[in-house]
Amino acid sequence: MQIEFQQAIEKHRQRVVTLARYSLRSAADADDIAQEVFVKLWQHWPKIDHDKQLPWLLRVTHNAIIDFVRRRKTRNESIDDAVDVEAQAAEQSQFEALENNQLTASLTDAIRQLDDPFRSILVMRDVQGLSYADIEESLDMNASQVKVYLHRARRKLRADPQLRLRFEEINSSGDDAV
Amino acid sequence: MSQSSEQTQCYAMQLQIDTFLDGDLVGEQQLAFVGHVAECGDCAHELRYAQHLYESVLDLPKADCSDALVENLVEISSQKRVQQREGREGHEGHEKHRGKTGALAETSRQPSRVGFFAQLDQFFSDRLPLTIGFAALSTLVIAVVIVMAPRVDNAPQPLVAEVTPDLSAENAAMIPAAFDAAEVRMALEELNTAIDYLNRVSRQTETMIGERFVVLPLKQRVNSSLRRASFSNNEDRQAGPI
Repeated sequence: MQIEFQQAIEKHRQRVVTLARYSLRSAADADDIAQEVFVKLWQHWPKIDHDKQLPWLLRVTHNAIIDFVRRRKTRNESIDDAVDVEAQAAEQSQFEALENNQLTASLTDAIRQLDDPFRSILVMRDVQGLSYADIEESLDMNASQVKVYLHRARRKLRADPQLRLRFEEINSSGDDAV
Repeated sequence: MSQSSEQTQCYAMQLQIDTFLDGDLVGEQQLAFVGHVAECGDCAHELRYAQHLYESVLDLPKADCSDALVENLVEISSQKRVQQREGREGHEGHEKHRGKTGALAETSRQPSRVGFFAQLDQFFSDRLPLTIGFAALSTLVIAVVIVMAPRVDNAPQPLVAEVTPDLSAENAAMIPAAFDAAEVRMALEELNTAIDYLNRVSRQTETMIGERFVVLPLKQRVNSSLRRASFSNNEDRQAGPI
């Protein structure tokens, strides 16, 4: 059982953390969410249908993120911001190095600003490439609901003025080069 | 084609961009879409933007957790394993393994609850026949229900203290000469009736105004009025309502 648990961590850790990371600004918070999720996996190990382990993990992650954001909203904003600034200054991960690309950074911010379930569905489908079946199972939705939310999420992203500005900049510089 | 119908067509085509990018647009719809994009500069620009964004999202980096976190999780699961083994051997050794370090110790405490219930379940299934187990469980549930049931004698207390005629010698001395004891008793009984009424009103209005409806000081006011009256010769005040 312990070996299977470790295998499950290895197999799914990236998916759990990616979903959390694109919902929260701090990598430490995303790690906390991941720890919480995998501890729950261990606690519920005997009761889980292991054929549906990934959807179960994603559902628990999604709920944990919602709880986390709700808890954080009740805290003092200024303290929260200070903590975020400190955390962000401390983190120089590979993830953030990749975010240094302006479009990628704007895109990541825009995704984080999406409401749920638009954000979760977009991250699960487009960023992580999960199947519709897994997304349906994890969010307890049918296929058409998932597609509608996904298309709306993409339209919301396209409507983001910062992203459009970045694209126009890239487009115009490309034209200039030609 | 009028400008408004062109805009409507462009809007309809732009709604199909995601379906097109997903490869779900087929047949005539696909042909119509491609044909429109070939002719319409705005829609072609919008499609380029959507495609660029779509590809950028696909290329976004995946995040991963730290190895320390994974080690913590593995340690949690191994601690739990040791606890289970010790539990089977009849040792109470989980306290020793409980708190190695801070948050990890806190989280490692939680899985032990699963172990406890699992052991209890194992005990019932192994050692007791099903019927005895069921009877014991039913008795336990009934006992809990009886203990937890609300007591009948917990009726709400009246909000206002009952005013009983207190005609002791000390109070009698304060009663002005204009009133005799029988009149005072009658007045107090009437006051009781009034207070009962106020109690009823108070209960009805309690949900609206909480506990701000204060009736209790009435008794004190009556006594102080009587006290004032005993030191005053003003006939109007003595004869007037309290």
